[in-house]
Amino acid sequence: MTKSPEISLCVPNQAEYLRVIRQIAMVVGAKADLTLEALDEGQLASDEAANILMKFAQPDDVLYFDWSVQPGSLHLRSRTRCLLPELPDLPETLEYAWVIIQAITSELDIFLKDGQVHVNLTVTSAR
Amino acid sequence: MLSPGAVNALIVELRAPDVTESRADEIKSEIVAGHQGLIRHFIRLRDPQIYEDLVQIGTIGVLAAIDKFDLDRNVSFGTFASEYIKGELSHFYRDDGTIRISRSVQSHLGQIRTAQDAFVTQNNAQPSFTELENCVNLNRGEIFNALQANYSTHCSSLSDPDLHIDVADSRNEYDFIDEWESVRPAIDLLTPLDRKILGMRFIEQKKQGEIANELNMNQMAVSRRLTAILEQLRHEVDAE
Repeated sequence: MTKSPEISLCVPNQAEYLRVIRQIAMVVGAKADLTLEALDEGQLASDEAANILMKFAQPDDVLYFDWSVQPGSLHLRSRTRCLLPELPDLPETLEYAWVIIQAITSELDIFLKDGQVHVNLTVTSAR
Repeated sequence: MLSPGAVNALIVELRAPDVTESRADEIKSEIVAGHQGLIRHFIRLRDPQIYEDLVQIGTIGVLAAIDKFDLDRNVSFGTFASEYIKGELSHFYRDDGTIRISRSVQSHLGQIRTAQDAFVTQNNAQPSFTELENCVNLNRGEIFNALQANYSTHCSSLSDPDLHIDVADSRNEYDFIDEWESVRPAIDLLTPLDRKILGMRFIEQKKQGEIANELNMNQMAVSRRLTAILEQLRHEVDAE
């Protein structure tokens, strides 16, 4: 996840921007030469990451996304300012979304650092 | 549901020369009401936002069947009406769905799907984006548009073979979903096939390609259904 971003995006904490996030994930995923399935899951994972950030962000805050690629892999680093002083139990809080994001990512890291919640993940093509 | 004999008797009365307009309306309403279960049986799309619209469209099919039904033929009204209900719903899915896809994009989707299937058959592996791009006569933008349309389309044609897969009710098979209380109402609305796909993907952790193989579907069809399922679950959570 150390590769420099292929594309960066910052959007308001509003659900209407999810579509933009999904579309960018698709275009960047194509540059990683993912399979259609991984392309689909890259979009879904980016969408879920955004939803997790929205859960912990201030209503008027901004969400940041950096996508980068390696052949067959799409990486996303995303973050926003966190409402909470510490993260709650994620499987319990995120419930079904936790199961989904775990199933579609090959790497997943959600943590709080310097008052910001980070969701970093990787989606890989399985051939 | 009305018995075949009762429906025939009502249609005979309806076609009598001295039937009044109000009685004719009553008879039609009675036949339509007696076939609500049949209409709902054919509505595979459980999107609550347009579910009632689809029931109305199915009703148009029943009314058309009342006009066309031949009492002398050895077929029940229910069987006859089924074709009209399916026809009206198919027409809606194809031409009047809430999301319209242009013919060119539909054609591109068809090309992508065919190329993907051919690649999988030949190589026993899913094609990468570049490999797929090399198999179809489309530019990258056209492929993006087609894929976006695939993910955005939740309506499926009744002639879609994916809808006719014989899947036993997976409610018991996937009791794990009981733990997802916040999305329980949305899961209850899913078809057995959709519950099966949800469980295979996120609990059994099978890849879309594996699910497609097992259910004799195309990966893009699995993807489309998963997108629709997850949007429905998300909608349920957001509505809380």
